[in-house]
Amino acid sequence: MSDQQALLSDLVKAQAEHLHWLESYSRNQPSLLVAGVDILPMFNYELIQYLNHVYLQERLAQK
Amino acid sequence: MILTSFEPHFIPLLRKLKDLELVTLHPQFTKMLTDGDVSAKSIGDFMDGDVQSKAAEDAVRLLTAVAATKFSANGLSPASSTLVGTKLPVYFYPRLMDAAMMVHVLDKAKPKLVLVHNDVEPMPRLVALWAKARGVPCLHVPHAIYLEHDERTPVGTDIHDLITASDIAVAGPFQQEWYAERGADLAHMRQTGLPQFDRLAVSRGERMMACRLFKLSPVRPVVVYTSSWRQDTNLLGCADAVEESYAAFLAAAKTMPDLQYIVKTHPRGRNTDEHAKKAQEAGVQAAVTEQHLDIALNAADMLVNVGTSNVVLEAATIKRLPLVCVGGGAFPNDPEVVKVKAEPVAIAQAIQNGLRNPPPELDKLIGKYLGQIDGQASERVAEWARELHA
Repeated sequence: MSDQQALLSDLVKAQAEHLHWLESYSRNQPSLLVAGVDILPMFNYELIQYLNHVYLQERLAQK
Repeated sequence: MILTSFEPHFIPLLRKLKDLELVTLHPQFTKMLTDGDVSAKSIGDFMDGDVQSKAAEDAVRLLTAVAATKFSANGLSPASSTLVGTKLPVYFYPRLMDAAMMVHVLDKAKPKLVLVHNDVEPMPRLVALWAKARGVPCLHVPHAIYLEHDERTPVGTDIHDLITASDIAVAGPFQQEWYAERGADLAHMRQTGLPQFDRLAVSRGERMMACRLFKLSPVRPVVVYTSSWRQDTNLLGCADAVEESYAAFLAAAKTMPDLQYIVKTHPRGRNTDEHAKKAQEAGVQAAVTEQHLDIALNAADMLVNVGTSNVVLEAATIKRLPLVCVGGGAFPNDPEVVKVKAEPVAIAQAIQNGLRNPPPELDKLIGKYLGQIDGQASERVAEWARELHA
């Protein structure tokens, strides 16, 4: 496997972990309710960008 | 009452629903509608002291809870764990008041139907979450078709895989299958076509006129290059493909000075100046613009696109353009679209082949992705919206 393929494979795994973490985190925080509406998932679109970005920087720094 | 997200392509369908009370998520969209003689209010018009007071109390409560929570960062990388462990309250602090306010104001307005152009970005998803919690139908009319790519991550690993809306209007069979794979109920999907593609059914205008508008010679071939931008919701978007593909395209263009070039940048890319600068540095004469997509496509003799994009489908409806995607991976199951690596020689060869050979047969591609292109998608979506609202 080339370096680029290995990086891509790691990125795919990391992204899956980020989304899994975000969505399970959202499901496990019942105290973040507004009038019975769980608002937390709305933030996942932005949060996954932060997590992806941080991971990519970390991964590239290892090269 | 119908609540709608800010999507200008919805205007024709909202015009068909103007006998119902329309409320938008953004005052600028309200203005656009009222300027077009479609009466609308903004959700902010329902705001009052009671809503603000409840939202402020909720924001304080939520922030306190977030600050007091020790987040489990199991499964995350060290850097991501640090972000989660230390920065989440900082991230939430400026956002919680607005989010809480939206929930309370929606409870006050009580729309009977919510119309969104996506259900993943923060505010449309919140509205979809509210609708789900209150049992109100939420019709998602996608602003684009998410396309296949060889390097696409598995289903369930991309934020766009998440579905919150109750109902989805899809363009054609491909998009219906795409959402079904992600758990959408077929009984809550309809192949209506999408409003943004209605314009493709009407006369596209003459190539000669389009060339004149770009100050190009109509007797010399025109190559349109459509660029992109980094979309960090998916790690594939973090690659340098946009820059690398463009550099390779310019190097190819440099070897074919007899051709004419239009570089169309993405309207959200904020990289038009950068594209113009690079063309100039490469010594390639090109009209660089982030607007006038339809005129550029009318002027074109072929399309060269970076990665995968709905613009390839829009260009397909012209039916005379060879379609080339640079970077590989795009449209993996569609032989009508030529795929080339981001290498100058490969791109130059694809351009020469495309201009030399007869145009491909594109009806199958169009039917698969766009469904029926008859200019009636807005009508069909409006009819469905009316049913859901009843």
